[in-house]
Amino acid sequence: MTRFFLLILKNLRRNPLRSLLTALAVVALVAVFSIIVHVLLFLEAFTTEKGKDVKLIVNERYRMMSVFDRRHVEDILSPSSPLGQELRRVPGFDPDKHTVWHFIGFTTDPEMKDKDRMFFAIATYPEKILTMTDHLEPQHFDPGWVEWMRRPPVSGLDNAGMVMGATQLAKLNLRPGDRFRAKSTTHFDGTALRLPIEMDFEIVGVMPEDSPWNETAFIDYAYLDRELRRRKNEFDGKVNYVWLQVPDQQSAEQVALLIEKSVPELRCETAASAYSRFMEPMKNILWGMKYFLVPAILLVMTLILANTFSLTVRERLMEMALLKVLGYRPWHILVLVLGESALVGLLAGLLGATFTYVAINYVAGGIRLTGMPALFMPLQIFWWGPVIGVATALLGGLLPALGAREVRVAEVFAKVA
Amino acid sequence: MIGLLFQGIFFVLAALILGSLLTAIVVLVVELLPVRKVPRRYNWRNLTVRWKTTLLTAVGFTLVVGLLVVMLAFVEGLNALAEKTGPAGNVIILRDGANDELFSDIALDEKVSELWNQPEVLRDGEEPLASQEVYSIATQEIPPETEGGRPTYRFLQVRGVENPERAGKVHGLRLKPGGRWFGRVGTEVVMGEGIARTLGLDVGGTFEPRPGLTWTVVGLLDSRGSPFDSEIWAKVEEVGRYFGKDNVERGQRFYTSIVVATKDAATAAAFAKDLQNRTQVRISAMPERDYYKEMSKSNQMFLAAAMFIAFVMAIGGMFGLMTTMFAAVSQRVKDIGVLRVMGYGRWQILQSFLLESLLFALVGGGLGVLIGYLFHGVEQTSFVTSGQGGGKTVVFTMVVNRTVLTYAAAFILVMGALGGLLPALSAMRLKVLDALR
Repeated sequence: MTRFFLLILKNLRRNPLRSLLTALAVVALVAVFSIIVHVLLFLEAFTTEKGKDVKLIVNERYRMMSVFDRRHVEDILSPSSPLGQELRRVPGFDPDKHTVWHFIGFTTDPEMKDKDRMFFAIATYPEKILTMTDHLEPQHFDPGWVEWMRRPPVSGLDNAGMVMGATQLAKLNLRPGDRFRAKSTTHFDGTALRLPIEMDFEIVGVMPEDSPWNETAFIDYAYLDRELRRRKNEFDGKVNYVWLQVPDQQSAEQVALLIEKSVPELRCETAASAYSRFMEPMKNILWGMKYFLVPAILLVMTLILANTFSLTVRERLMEMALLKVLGYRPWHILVLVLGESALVGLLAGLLGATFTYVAINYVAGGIRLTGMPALFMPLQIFWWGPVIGVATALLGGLLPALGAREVRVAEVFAKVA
Repeated sequence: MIGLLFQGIFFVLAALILGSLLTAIVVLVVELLPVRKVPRRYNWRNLTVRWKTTLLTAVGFTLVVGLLVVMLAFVEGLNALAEKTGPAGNVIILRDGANDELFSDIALDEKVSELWNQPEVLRDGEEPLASQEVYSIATQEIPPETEGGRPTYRFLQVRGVENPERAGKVHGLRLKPGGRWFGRVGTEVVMGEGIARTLGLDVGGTFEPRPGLTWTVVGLLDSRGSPFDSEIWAKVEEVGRYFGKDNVERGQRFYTSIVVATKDAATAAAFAKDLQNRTQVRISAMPERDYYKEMSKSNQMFLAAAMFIAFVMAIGGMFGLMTTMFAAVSQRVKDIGVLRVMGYGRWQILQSFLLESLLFALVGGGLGVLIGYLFHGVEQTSFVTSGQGGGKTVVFTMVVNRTVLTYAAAFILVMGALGGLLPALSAMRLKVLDALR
């Protein structure tokens, strides 16, 4: 075994340039393969139903820009409403595991023209942000911010704390502790002039770049609710979404049915199902990536390796014949060629994985997809990169190796003679 | 420091790409000149004798170039949408602060007509050539496939228009033969060809965008390749009430956008800039093409991704070619010696091997372009967005145009030249005696 391995190493070192060029080709292709596959898996994770702690979204049934009356939320949560009572009978339903969302657009540009100074905020219950926000991890949100959202430490303005994503904060050129006034681009007062609602905020927390929410902001729903009422806005008393969390898919199914039956203008569905609908326009692109681009990359990789090893075998026919004379069996020759190919694939795969990991995570600062969080390469790349390298190498090396196995000693020596 | 490093890498790469492109062009030009050179037949025979290696290398090129053409055709198709939004003189008016029709609402009050009763706005008979619209997205329920199953939902893009015929004139859209514009009575709609195909509908067909509301299709828009291909046009009141922002309790009605026609692009730009000064309605006006161009900026992400993938795959392909060419040189050391003895100079050897490398690239890459061209005109669906949470689903056709072909040609030449340069240089540097020994 050791002898075989040493022989393989020796053979690869005999033409270091060829080994290097082949390895570099595989490195490049493993890199692009890893990135594409990771993006696909990430998007798939968004649309895959969870087995436990299932998030449900309640929204308006027939309109994408969902807006509905808050009394429906009270119906869902109240122990005295018929719907609330029925929901309480569903195993695992906990009315406390809920939150509301009300979207509001703002700009820090007094002229309301500069697109780069516009942002969207989600008005919600601060204490529910960490537990009820999908894909928000504990490292993204400091629980201490909840209290600051209600009473910001610098300004002390009631409920005026805002937690913002790092990317958005940088775009607006703001820093933690900054107090600023923002005009709404979506909510206006109830007068005939419909002037934009203006609100004061203080930045009390920053969600890091690797958070899915790094391009958005959270504000206290109590503050928005108060302002909408005061300014007689048409969205006063309305919410866009209600989120619920139930322990499993079975409970999710029952809760959804009860809500939809009781309030026909509402739809209740799992977050994964809602994300799938939003991804629908990208269906063709994703299909193309999955079934066209990824196989093409693997095929190019296999072809390059097949080409290299068929050249290698052709140049070493004499040597193969000699090995046979020395007592090597045909399968020894096969293993020798496949071993060379696999070793190139393994090293190139490992190098490709390392290159991708460093380039994406440390140099590029993650992959940026519109409307998605920055995507970082996981540590798993260090096993799947080499596995892909070895698999394509074995595939690419198979035909040349079979050719080498069939070398006829007499024919080779006859040619030489 | 890192910025400088990146700038350095960028300049080196740019120089390498430009240099190799130039090299490829020089090699091809020299090939056409009546100067002494290694016979072309020699290279061609090498490619055919070692046909397995030729095939493996060329197929790699075919795949890389084919993918590049397909990806660029996708991006070009999206870019072309902005040009097909209608006449260049159109101006879209949104609510102040809104970048997207979805987030815009202009209240219907006594002042709103100031927006279209302007001297620059063209006339359609007695009336201004303007279209008052409500754009929204409906969620249509699709009944469950099995009994007891859950319904599924799909988004439908709906546009309420005050006067469909005039809206068609403003947007430069006509109906396909056999259709008619809907009138003020009844629940009738017209729709883009793309969405009609998706919904499996034709003139006379009916569907329910929501329970209790049945729409009858009375016309199909000749809208292939335009952003309106994925839209359903209905009466403004219906869209406003069921899918828009009309507030029945408060008696409020809104338009999301108003599109007015002016005579040309220059008038449109000047009018859009000045309109706010002439009205008390708080608005944001811009040429309609600029609006869609802004939305199409999300395509830049696709373009960057396509170029990145193609670039990295090209590196792989180039190293593959380099391996082949180095093997070709090492297998033909004696040939090179003989050629030198016959009086061919070092530069002619270089030219010969570079040409061979370019032949690999041109044959493989050319086939890739042909495969990519098969996707020309293929219908696709994608999403364009202003980046503020809104956006629009668009049905468009992939376009293999001169830009795509230029990119592909440059790619083929650069890959061919870069892949062949080092092996050709090593062949050129061989000494006659060493080669023949």
